Amino acid sequence: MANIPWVSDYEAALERARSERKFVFLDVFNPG
Amino acid sequence: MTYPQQAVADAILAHAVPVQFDNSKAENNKFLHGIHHIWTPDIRILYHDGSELYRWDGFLPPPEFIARTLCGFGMAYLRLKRFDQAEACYADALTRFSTTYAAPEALYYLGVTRYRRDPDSDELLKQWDNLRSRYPLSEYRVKQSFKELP
Repeated sequence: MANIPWVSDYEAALERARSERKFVFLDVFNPG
Repeated sequence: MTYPQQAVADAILAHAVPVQFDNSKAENNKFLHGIHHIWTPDIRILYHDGSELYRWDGFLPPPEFIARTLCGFGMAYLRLKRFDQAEACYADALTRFSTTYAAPEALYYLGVTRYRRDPDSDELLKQWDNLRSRYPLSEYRVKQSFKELP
């Protein structure tokens, strides 16, 4: 089973994406 | 169901930093209001300035999800004029997931990508011709149908 290392700090993710020349993959979910 | 699949994780992590928001948590309401969130799963591919490059809503099983994700990253690269990476995403979608709902989109934009990289090539019409024969009932066939007019 894969374990996607989701993060919840949006601003940190944008900065990481900038430094790694990647995109941000945003998933909004409902646990129900 | 979809995310635990290794191939799904690989498709996301190859191109992006994964961020998740739970829409049942009040602390997320301000952010979700700001992005006009309405339904889940709500998937966005964002540039590092926060601008949206691709989006879709709703559950997809793993093969459909990966193909849609590849189309998403393909479009994201294409909008940034990173043509080689866009081409690789669309070609991968067509090679591994040619029977998915996203495949016609991949073929349509494979032609667009190659044309935008080299306007002198015949790749746009060549790929759109492939689209007409491989996916004749798709919406993307309709999108190039002006080329079929006499």
